[in-house]
Amino acid sequence: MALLQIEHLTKEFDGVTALQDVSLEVRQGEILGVIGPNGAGKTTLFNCVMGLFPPDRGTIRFRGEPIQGRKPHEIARRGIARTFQIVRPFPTLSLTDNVLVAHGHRYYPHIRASTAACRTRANLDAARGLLDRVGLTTGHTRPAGPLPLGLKKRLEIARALALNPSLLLLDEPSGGLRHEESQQLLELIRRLNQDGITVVLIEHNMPLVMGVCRRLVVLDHGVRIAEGDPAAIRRDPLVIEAYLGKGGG
Amino acid sequence: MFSGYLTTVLITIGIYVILALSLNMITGYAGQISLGHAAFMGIGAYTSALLYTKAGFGFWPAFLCAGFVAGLVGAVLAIPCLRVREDFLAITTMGINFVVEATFLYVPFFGAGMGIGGINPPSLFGQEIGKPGFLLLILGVILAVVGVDRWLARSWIGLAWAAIREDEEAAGAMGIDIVRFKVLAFTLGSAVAGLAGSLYAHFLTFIMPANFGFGQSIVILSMVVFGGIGTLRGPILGAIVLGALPEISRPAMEYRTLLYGVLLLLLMRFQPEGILGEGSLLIRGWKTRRRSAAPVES
Repeated sequence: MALLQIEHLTKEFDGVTALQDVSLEVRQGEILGVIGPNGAGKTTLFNCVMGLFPPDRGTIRFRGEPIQGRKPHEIARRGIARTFQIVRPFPTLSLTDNVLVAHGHRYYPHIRASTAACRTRANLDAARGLLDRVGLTTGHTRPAGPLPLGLKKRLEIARALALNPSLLLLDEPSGGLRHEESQQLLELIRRLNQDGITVVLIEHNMPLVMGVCRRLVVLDHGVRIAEGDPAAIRRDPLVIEAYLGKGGG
Repeated sequence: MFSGYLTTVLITIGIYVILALSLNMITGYAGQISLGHAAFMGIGAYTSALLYTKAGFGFWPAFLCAGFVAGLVGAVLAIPCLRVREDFLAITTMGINFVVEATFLYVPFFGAGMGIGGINPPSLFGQEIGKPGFLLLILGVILAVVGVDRWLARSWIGLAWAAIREDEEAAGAMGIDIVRFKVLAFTLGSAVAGLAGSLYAHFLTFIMPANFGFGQSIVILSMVVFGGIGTLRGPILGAIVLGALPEISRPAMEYRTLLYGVLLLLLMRFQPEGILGEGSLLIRGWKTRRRSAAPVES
């Protein structure tokens, strides 16, 4: 059974179709790449899965259960975590507090449990452990705002991991990073995948995504135009046309 | 010990400290701007006054009911506030203030323009506690509110509020039920404002709708912003300084609103985090001095 099953998903904004009848499945344990030119609907797809807005039509099943129309916090608690295309750490909170916010997902549903102290030794250790795991080994008490972009992206991943997710949605993790920085980040993503987390990767950077994903889905103007392994995608005439325009390639 | 006048001033400042701390929960911690906080002070004051003068309640049960009713109304009125952010939230809360004030002003049950009089000061064991006793009561309430404040700031609730304040969408993706925690902030902040309103009513012994208007809301907000929004020390300092100012100088009393307005403008321009906020000159200077005194840093 697929971990995430999206069927006939359609989403319109003021008459503009952002996603049209998109179906795809994410298999347990894989790194799936979602690629497509600007405005193809990739981020809208993530936002629909995360419950930021309900789809107009179609179903989204996670572990077989429909989750479309659920609120973001409910979906996060079920084990789907995300990072944002434009990084969004909590700027004035320290790195540990940033991770603790997500660590608290198990306490927020119960008022009594949420009145407990959050910065206990055990919780702080858990947060620091996750920061170490993504390679943020120093400066844990500093605010997240002034961090350089590459480290902010790592912080977002640490925060996502604190949700104990089985599915991780990464929105352009390499965007704005230098080549070696993206390579290191990809290495981290590969490691997390080996630890058992299923990953969906939105990427612009084609060579990068070809290197890390065995399966790709291509969106263009809200429509799924291709699916397959990197070699097949590279030869697909529809994909070439979407990226280079008619008569290109 | 104190002259009667000084005690009166200290009690007034004390009530403003409670109000500033209560608004700080909503606007400072949870980041939800409110321009209508005096409405909840008024709901507490009127609840207490009506229960005391019409229903025969004693001060203590009336005081507790004032907090409860203001919290309840705060929770209900939080609902229209949930879908709006920032500037729209400011206008919504301002509207709530006008509606509440108009209700007191035009509904005869609430005494209309005449207000409610004959609200006696609290008694303990059949004896009026008098002004010094009232001051002690206020100090006790302040200590309790500070205790709750510290406890919330250390809890998951405080962390969830901070996350919502910084980035609502990211907070949702971290498993935080935005609606629940916003309503909680409005409920707690309004309940504490209601308690302050009850103290205010029993201290003045006479209340009028104009005591709880938009101007009063701005006074409370000025105190929070002046001292340093989102900290514990800031609203306390702000309430003390801005509360004492009109008593110290006569012109400050006459031009109170103008003075607060100018202060707010200057602060927004030069010290947007307030006098004692995290990034303020005073706090930064103090931290640098401490660091140079103790050069070993982990």
